[in-house]
Amino acid sequence: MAQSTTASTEAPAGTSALTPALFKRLHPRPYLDRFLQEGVRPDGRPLGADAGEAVWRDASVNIGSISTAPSSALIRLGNTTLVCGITLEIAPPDITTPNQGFIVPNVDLPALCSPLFRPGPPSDEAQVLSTRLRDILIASNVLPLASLIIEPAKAAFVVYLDVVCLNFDGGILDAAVLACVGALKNLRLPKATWDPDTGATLCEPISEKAQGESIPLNPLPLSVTFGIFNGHLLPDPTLFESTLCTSHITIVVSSTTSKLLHVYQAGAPLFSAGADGVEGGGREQLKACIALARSRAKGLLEILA
Amino acid sequence: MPREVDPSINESEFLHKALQQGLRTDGRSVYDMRDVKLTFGDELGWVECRLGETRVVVQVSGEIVKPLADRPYEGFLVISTEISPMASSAYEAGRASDEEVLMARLLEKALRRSEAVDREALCIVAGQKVWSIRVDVHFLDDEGNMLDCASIAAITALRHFRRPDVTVIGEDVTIHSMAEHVPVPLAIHHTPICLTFAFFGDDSLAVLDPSHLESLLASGTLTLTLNSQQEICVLSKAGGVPLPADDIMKVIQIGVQRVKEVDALIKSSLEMEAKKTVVEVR
Amino acid sequence: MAPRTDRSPTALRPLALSQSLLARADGSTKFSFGNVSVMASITGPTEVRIREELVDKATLEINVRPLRGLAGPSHKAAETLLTSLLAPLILLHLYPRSLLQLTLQTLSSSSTAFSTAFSTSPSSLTPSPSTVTLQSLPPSSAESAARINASMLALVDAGVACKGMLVAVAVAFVEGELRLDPTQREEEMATSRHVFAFSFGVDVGGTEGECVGVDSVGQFEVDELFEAQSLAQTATQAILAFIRKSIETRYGATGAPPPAAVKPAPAMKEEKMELPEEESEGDESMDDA
Repeated sequence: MAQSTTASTEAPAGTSALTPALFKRLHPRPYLDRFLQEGVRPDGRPLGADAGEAVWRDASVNIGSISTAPSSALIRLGNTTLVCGITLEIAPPDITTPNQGFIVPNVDLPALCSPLFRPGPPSDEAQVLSTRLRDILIASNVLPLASLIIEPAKAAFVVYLDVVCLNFDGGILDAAVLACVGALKNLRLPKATWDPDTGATLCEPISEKAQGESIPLNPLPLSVTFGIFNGHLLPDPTLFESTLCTSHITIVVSSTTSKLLHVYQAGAPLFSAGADGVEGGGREQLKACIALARSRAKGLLEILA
Repeated sequence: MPREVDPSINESEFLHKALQQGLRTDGRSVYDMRDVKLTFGDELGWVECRLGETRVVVQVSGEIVKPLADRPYEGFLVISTEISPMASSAYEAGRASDEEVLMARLLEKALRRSEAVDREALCIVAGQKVWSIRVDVHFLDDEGNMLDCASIAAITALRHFRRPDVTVIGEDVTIHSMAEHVPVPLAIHHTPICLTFAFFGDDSLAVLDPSHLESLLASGTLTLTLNSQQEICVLSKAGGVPLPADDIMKVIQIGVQRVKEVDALIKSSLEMEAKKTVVEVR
Repeated sequence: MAPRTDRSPTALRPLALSQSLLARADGSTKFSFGNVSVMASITGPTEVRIREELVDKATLEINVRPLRGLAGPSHKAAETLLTSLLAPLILLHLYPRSLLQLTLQTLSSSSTAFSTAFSTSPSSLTPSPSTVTLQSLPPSSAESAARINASMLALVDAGVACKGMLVAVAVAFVEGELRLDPTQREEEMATSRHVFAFSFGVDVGGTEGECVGVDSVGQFEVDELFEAQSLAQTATQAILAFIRKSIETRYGATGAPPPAAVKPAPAMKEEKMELPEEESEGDESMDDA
């Protein structure tokens, strides 16, 4: 992407035919700056600590739409769309952890979701997202691995969480966590018994009569990402804003307890107090992000229920 | 990443002229190896080998897996030899050049196909649980002849490594921790060591343990994998330069001598290391 | 988990630093926290592939290699973290159309595999407590901090211009106790693990340091996070002091090259060279004839 190296916010001379789209493409930084100076973001959301719920993009959840999967969730976060499908398998547990099943999340960013990705092996972004998603799900213990055991040391469930992105517009990790959580809430494990004579596991197929067992989940993880651009804190940035941001902060909070599950900051924090009222200093900024994340988590929980 | 810069004509001519007089640019004689320096890590199975400036680190580790269905009594020996750009920027991450592939295959033949490590001794419960021994070779610095350096490091690490002791009662397996039961060394039949000779020009001048410059200018190489019982495990001749059979026989004789020296060095290094670290208390 | 016996909960393990170790790299460093050591090598600025060339700055390529096994998605995540921490600090615009290739190899990190006994006999299969959830995540916080430090010091060794220094350290909460620079075993038993990176230098943190990187995972309160961050800040200041001392020992306190040994010029002969007067850069005064 051609990016202007100047940080000036003046329109170049002699560009009477400059449409907004052209300006956005040729001078993305000044374009974004113009909006932020007016206290608004390119997609119309307000900027500022007192803007309340309006700083977040609209989120919607559709559970169980994929009939061939034991559980699924389709998430829309603004323009970002992704779907999580759960597949179940049975495997012997690892010899060093005989009382634990497996949770295997995987994020796929196919070529269809954005021109940034080409068909082929998983891109770097997909690998990074898969790793971070796995870390969040395991750290939160949302689905205890011990609850997936069928017979200690002999058989356990493997829960594959396949997350496929259909439209890539920023906030992918947030959407992926939400999708996994939504799909896990709806998951029912078939009744399975280990037969010591044959050394195999017998499962009761899920039907109208035998609905399977739903697993009690621990507090749910909910992820919120922020971007920092030119002294402004941008909650839930779109892809366009994200590529221009100099640093990102991700906070994962727990749905019921006061604990944090994951905090990730890469890059320098804000220095001076911005127009959005966030005080200077990295710690103040983190506190502000955590407070905003908690309020967003409440809203996301309501959507999930 | 940047291609290796070809040596200049001056360097090439100088090297050839010196070799014709039996001299090498770093002062060695034609059949001298650089000094082998072995360092052992705190962990069992970690060995660093330095051959002059060439550095290779090997880490041996073990895990328990299910054996193959058609070989229920055999464990696995997995050798990983990915070269990172650390060794030299001529190596690309993720793409193996021809020399890398050749080196990986030679190491594989030297360590695995020569049956140096007894894979049946790695069986715990036939058909269910066997040891899979993993040898990770990390190339830190490429000043020529990484293959020989890697083979010395790898076989030393395999001999340094000890796996946890295992008790099998019926089908129940208990793996004892390294602190409870004395860890068990691997069953190693012999110590194969690779020696590489580089050949130059039409008069088939040969040198042992080529430096980086010599490797770039060589017209062909011959790698011998020998053990101290004077057995040839692998013989690999790469590059099309024709060599008279007599020269090959001469080179093998020299190799046999050198291997005895290297083997003695490995033995004495392992013994000195065994005295320093307490692995078992009698 | 037993309390520490070799050091206090807020003490670092012995640090070790050695530089310029590799012959084929422009800069190399080996940095260790106790027995966790990482080697970083950097080649550059050097030739870059056309499709990766950036016209106004250097291309930063980072490769992370583990000690055991092949590099997987978690190492890609480590590469991304390093890129986002280093790219703002390196003066990339001083090296346009070139490549800075950084490779990290973990050289030692003790394995905790098989450090406790396992058995498949039914009598010994008691479920493990579920309070320690991070056991399923391989411990890597101290390794991650060592990587960040090794990368920064390799850049210093290679002489790549940077705005400041980046120093990182790992912290963990084990059974409610805050422990600095946790061992592998402590990381496995931790309820939360944190890696903090601070930048030091004019306008990028001064001497106090400014937190530019946080990677925390587990279950922790906000207060715990900030307590860990404060401890990490003090620790990174100490690590930076160690680094400074180590480099000063190597290069001398002022960092200036030793004064050139000037040999007196031989007595000028009377013959004058009939050459046109050359424009020389020396401080010879140009006397008008």
